[in-house]
Amino acid sequence: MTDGVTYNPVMPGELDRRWSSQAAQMSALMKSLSSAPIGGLPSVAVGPARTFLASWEKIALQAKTSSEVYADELRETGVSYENLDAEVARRMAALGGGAG
Amino acid sequence: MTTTINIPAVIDPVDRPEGDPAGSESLATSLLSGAVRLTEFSEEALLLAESKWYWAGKAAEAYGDHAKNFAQRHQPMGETLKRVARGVDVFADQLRTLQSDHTTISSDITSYHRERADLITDVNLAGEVAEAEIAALQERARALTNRRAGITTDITDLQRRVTENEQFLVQLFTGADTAAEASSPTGGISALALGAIGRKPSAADGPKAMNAWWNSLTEAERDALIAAYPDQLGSADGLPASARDAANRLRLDADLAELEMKERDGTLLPEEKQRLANARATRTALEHADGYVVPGTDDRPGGQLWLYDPDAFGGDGRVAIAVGDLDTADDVSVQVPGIRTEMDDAPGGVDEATRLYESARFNGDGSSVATMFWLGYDTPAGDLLEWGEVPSEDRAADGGARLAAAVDGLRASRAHDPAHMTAIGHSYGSTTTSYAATDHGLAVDDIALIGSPGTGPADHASDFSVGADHVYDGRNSRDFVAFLGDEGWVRKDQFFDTGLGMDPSSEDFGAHRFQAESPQRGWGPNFDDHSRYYDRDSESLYNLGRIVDGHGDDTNSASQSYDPWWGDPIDPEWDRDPTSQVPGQSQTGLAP
Repeated sequence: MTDGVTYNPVMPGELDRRWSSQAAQMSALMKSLSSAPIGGLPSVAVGPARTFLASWEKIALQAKTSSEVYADELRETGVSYENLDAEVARRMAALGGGAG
Repeated sequence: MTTTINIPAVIDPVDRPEGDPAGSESLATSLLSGAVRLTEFSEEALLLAESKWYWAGKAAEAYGDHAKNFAQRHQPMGETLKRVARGVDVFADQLRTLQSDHTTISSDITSYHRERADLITDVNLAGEVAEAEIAALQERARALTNRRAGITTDITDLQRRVTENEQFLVQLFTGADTAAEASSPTGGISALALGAIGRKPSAADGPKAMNAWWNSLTEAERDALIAAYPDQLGSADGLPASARDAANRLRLDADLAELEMKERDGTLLPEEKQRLANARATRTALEHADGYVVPGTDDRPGGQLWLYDPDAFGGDGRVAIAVGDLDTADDVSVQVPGIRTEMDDAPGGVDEATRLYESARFNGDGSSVATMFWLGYDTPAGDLLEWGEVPSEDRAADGGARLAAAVDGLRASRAHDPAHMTAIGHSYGSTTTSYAATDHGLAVDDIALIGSPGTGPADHASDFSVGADHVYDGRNSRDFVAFLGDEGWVRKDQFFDTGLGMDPSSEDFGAHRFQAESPQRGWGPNFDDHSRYYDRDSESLYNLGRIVDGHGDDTNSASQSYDPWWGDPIDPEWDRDPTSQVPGQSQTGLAP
């Protein structure tokens, strides 16, 4: 149950921008993990380190993808609200001179 | 007759511990920066889940719930990655130590082989020799055999430590390489650390219990704990200074990495600005301690970050940095600063500690020394000389309890190898030190008060825990603040709302007063002379160095001030000509 609907058209742009920036952050994290220097480790730890880094790259990739999905969905949500608004406006306009 | 001399076998060379400490540290730095990025990511995700000001309704709620859940799942990940980064750092540190130990052992082996070859040569050259010579050869063979046994033990020990260190690293990676582990609150914490932290006593059990717990741990458990729980270990009284230092440096590095990245990204929160300033001041102060080389010598004592708590006291913070090794030094001093000292004053405090270190060594008996700038209490923000701003003694009373606890911690950390310890309180810090010594049994051997506005609860030096014979006072005759203490019948704190108790330089108080005049002193009472007690090549620093070195009975005495019934208090030091760089009086080091 909510107190109704409030929608500010600034929402999609603002959230899209910030979630896209989140995705970029995770992209940078992936890059830094893939180039993380493991040359200083003893040979016994190199394999586990590679697995570890690969796993965290995957985590970063999933976070990046999720951020992009949020950005896309919110952009779409904005479009949906605008479409609904336009549709309702059309219907109101279509009421014609008989009403009121 | 044939005599047999048993020559011990050769020792096989030992493999150098594999890996490169600097390279491993690069990995740690890279992981730490990734951890910071992840932390920022989850914080921003949480903010993005709250979109109420521009969007409300069922759709907004559904989005908010989903995004919040997403943010919360990612929240522990930054911490997990940070723990792994710290662990790699700890591994690198230990690897450096192990490689250095390996070099020592290799050199021992070389020298063993040289002596062994010499013995074989001498045995082969010996034909018909006297019994005494045979006995000497046999004795050399026996000594060599013992030597071999010692080196073999060292090798076994080294190999065990290398294996433990490598296992620790492997467990670090394998303990955080799944999504479930990454988002677990214990991700990146090794089983060793989890087991050991469960046995950790609480602070209320006291520093002796803490020390006993630490001593019961293996080296591998200690490393794992430092990597996993630096916040809990960095200020744990009773732990060796080296352990606290390692934990606090990890915390400092993590703070700097996180906050400086946030600053670059423009996401630093207002409340984080002070924390960053405190971390930067600590870094600078630590650099001063680490990089300090005693002028004119090769002596590089190194620094220790004994306390790092940048959020304490509403953001004023707590910090303590030592010059020298608190775990092994024969003589240890704790310098307690005064009013309005905050973390950004730490570099200056450490510089004073370096000068004190130099003085104690230069005029000392050859003993090792560590001097610590200790800002472990909440110093008042008022002004001792401003009407209405004179601080109460509450902070000194609270600080006294904290100082005594800190010293108890230092004592407990080396119960079997006690240092000669000195507490030095400057300005309001002398009042704090007085509280510690009067109300909390401050467990030092000697106490020196400099530029004191009063001794708080103590009316006489004999009220101090160390006894009157071990209480020293340095007062520059022009130091305005030192005028504030009570002398004679006039109780300044009661009548004029100034001062914080007895003047410790007065004959009524009964402490040993030492010379502390400065050639730069003003013509009359002033504030500058309040800050000259740690000046290089000064009378004060000379005498403080002697006290720290355990020779307080051999300082240069000054006559105590007194209050004749017919006039104002008289300071006999007022008319004495001050000295500087005079051997045995005010020279505190070699010319730079």
